[in-house]
Amino acid sequence: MRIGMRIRSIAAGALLAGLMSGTASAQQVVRFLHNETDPPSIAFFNNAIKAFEAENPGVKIEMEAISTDGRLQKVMSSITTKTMPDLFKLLPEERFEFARKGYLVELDDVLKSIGEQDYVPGALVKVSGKTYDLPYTLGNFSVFWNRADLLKAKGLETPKNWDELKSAAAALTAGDQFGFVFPAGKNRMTSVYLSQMIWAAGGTYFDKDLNVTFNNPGTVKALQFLKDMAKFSPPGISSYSYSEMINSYLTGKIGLDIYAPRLAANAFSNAPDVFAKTNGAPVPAGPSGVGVKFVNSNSFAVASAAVGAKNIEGAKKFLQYLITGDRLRDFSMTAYPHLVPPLKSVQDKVVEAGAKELGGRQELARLAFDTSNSLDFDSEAGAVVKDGKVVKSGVINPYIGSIVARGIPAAVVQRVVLEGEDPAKAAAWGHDQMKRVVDELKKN
Amino acid sequence: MAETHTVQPGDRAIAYLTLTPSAAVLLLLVAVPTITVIGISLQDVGFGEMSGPWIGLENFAWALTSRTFWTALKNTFVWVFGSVSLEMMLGLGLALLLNRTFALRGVARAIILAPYLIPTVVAVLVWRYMFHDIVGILNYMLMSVGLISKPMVWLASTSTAMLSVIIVGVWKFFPFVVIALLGILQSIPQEQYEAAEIDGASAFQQFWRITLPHILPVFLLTALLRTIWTFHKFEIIYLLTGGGPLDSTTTLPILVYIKGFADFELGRAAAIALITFFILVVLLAVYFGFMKRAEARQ
Repeated sequence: MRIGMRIRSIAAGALLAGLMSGTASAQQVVRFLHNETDPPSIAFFNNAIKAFEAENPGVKIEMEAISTDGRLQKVMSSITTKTMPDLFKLLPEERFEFARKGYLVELDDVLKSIGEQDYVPGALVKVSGKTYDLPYTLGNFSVFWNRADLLKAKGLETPKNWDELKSAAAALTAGDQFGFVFPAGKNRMTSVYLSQMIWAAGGTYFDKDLNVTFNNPGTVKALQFLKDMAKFSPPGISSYSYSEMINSYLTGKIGLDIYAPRLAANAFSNAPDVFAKTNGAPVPAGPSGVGVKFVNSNSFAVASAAVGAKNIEGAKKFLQYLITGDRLRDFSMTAYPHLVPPLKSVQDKVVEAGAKELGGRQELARLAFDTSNSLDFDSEAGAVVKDGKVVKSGVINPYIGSIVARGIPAAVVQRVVLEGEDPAKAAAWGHDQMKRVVDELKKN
Repeated sequence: MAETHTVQPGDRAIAYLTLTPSAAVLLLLVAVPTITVIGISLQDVGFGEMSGPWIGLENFAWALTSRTFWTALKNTFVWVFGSVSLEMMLGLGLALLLNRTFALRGVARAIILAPYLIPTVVAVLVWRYMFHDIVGILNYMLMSVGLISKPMVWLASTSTAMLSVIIVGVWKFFPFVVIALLGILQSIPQEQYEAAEIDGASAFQQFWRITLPHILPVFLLTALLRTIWTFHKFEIIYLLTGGGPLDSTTTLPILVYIKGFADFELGRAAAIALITFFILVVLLAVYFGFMKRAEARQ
């Protein structure tokens, strides 16, 4: 009798365990990796995940937020060990290589469902006619923040070109006040900064046939400009990266700063006195006659089964949910007006929703959302400035990501700013380094 | 009379049987990754791959003929020698101080341990702000007391960046030396000092003749251990400077990281890692040799 009862309870336990494991396997887990680690973004993602899971009871989203500097290493390790998260943040310069190697799945069906015509020009980049990533925000690194009070005190107008910028920076530099600031650290931000200067000076890294053209007059002019501007910048710029571009400005000791709109958002929250005296303006024109902006898409991509993705359909569904409608608006509001929505229909909603933010200064959002005359790493090959406008060649550059990841542009800046090397020599050195990398890549 | 035990034929089998599980786990945790790294170092392994064409010792040849490698090796020795020597001197001085009797000695001991307990990431972020060229408290203090006339560029200059990372490293790890030396200092019989005092020995003579011979074995062992640990330290330097400016703070572990995850040259990264491993093995051999001699002396 006792033995019979024991057998029955064991059988019941086994059945229950079986049922439970069946329930667990019925729930689809979507692993999601991103690098938006600031508290408002995390709160947004938590809310969006909760709402999505409520609408899709069979799907569970497992989120992992990682620092910007550690993201690529995490992705690389996951690819190597075939444990890639299903949905992940992809940088533009990784797009071509990842797609070519079969790490990504096509997202044309998702794009069709969202509506391609709603994306702002330049937001979507395809590889061989196929979509492999969809943007959730555009990063505009090129708004000209300036201390209107300091310029006025010196009787200066807002600089509109590099010459005026240099004169104003010189006039605003005295004692522990610095006229200008730019990043010259060993990091990606320095490469981003140099790039917009090269483009504004009429140069590019590559021509439209994907030959390295880094050693060009535009690069030399850009490097000479940075070398000159270092005299009006804090002495520690050779260690500056993203955060220092904002934090140094918020100390009130910087006059002029070309950086992303996050500067205004942070100044409004943390240094209202500085914010009140700050104006936004279009980035001053370089020798090409245009102030070329660095605007890149921040995208999500869905990993392929070949690198370990387990739930591709669930990831696509969550992706579409996350980057459209109210979620896109809400995400863009987490750092207003820094996060530029790539969907035209959502941009207006964000400007409307942000009316009360930044003390009602909507003009700053419009400035931040203006992504015209811009380039980024993968679209710069062969781009030219014609009649005051940036004209892209349409060629997507598969090689530049490797150059930026190796920190070659940042190293060129350090040679000029830190070591005082002649810009022409530094440009030639950078050219040789880049050519060596590209030749190696072309061989494979 | 002590009991004697003769090894029986079955004892050896039981010994092997009981050792097998831990040996298997060790093999899995140590041998497999080591063999994998050796394998990768002999191949041309690139982006997102775990294997590539076999190229023999080419990666090692590249490392030993590359200026970057020798710069990193030189930086590693500067970093290790600078950090460990300062840690040992500071640690010894403070251990001697804390070995004396004074009010709130317990509180002082607890405070001195604090840097060792603070997570490295937190400590580095705080130090980054302290080193800041515009708002850094370090410059403010040095200027206030008139030691410098204008702010120093701690992390952004090739001439001061290594000094800055050494300062942070020493601050973070000197408490380990204090703990190690304080333990041995407390074991020295007080009577020896009393006898020396009666004989008229000065404080320096007491330190030289009594303290130093007692603490020397532990002092040297601590120095060796700190050398080995500092040699492959990564996070302090990476978080403070990323190996820059230029390559002025690029040590071997940083170079391994750059080669593997920025240049995507895993084969070369593995070769540098193995050379680093070899240097550490030499240091370990010194350590074990020293241990053996110390045991024989006892």
